[in-house]
Amino acid sequence: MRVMIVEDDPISRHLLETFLGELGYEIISTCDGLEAWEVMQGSEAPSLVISDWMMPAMDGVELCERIRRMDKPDYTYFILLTAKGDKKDVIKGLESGADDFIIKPFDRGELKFRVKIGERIINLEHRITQLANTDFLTGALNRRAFMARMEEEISRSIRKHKEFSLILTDIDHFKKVNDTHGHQVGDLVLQKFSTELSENMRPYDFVGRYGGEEFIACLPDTNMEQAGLTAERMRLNVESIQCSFQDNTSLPVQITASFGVASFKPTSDESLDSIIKRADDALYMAKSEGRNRVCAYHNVSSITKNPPESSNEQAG
Amino acid sequence: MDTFDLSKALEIVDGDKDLFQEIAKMLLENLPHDLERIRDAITNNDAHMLERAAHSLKGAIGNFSAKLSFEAANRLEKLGKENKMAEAQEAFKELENEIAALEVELNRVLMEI
Repeated sequence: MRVMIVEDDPISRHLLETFLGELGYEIISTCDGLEAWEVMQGSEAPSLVISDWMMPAMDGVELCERIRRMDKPDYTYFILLTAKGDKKDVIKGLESGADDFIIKPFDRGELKFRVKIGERIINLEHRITQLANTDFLTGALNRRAFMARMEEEISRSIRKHKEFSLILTDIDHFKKVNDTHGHQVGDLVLQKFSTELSENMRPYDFVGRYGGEEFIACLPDTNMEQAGLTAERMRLNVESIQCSFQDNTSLPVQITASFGVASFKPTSDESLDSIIKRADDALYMAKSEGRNRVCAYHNVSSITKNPPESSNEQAG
Repeated sequence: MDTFDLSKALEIVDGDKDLFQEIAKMLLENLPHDLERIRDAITNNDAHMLERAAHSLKGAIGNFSAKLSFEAANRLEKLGKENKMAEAQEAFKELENEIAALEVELNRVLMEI
């Protein structure tokens, strides 16, 4: 966990750095609220802040109020450090949004456990966020979380002048898998399919479960041609997925999938819905041209030529 | 004991003598500057500055179980806060005396531990 110390007194700061450093936290040390506020706006923003109350430039209460007004996806646990013991001050601090108080001079043991409380809450928050954003069955992002990430990606793309691509994919004849083998097998197929997609992606790409057997991947800094190649690699690897069963009585299930690719140009002011619509059009084309293929949107023509579906008909 | 309580001061650093030495040296180094800021505030009749300067000195001393110095700094902080600058000169003399005694104690302890 990353912890920020905000303290103008060098001795108290040194003690905090020493005590918290020993607990294995990653420490950012600042001398007043203004410096801390700059850190909060950067990419290295901490999960937990321990701040002195009275400081030059910006005091701890104002820092806390500002953090609470931030539109930040993760919670920041805020501990106010103060020599004041006055009840009125405690209430003023809590009103500003502080989670806890430590009275100076602080006791090493008390400091440790109060920070641990904060860590516990931050960890719970991470877990809840993760659960709320993840598709339970496949571990991919759920649709809502994917869409939220996409909005960020669009802003990033415009800011950095880099295009990105989407791959929308759907397992061919998935209903047949469920009808023939049951939903448990269907679930297993979905898991393997999702894993296969992820294995063909880079660490900064992300994939979401868009619908029942429909998944969507976003590839930042990637043009249509590169995305087409990735989709084609996915398509080939999906073909070789083997879903065999514990009892070994039935033949392994094999599946294919169709892929639609669309790219976003940072110079356009296209909406997210419109980009996805184009990927969907390309996917529709891949389906209507016989499935188990990749179609890119620009001309909605097939990038790959594969045997017609009739000769490739399998359980999936 | 009221000037400086070593056993209590060591409690704050959880018995870590090296850490105590580090912060005691930091304090001794910073004290002249901290006093200077308070003196300036009084000379300039700046109550807000006095409150600030006395508060930060109080914070530093707070880590050392130095009751009398702490109280003297606290008194000056209050005088600043309540804008009672007429009494500040007298309170500052007291603070200087307590700090001088604390410096002697700290230097002695640093030689011993």
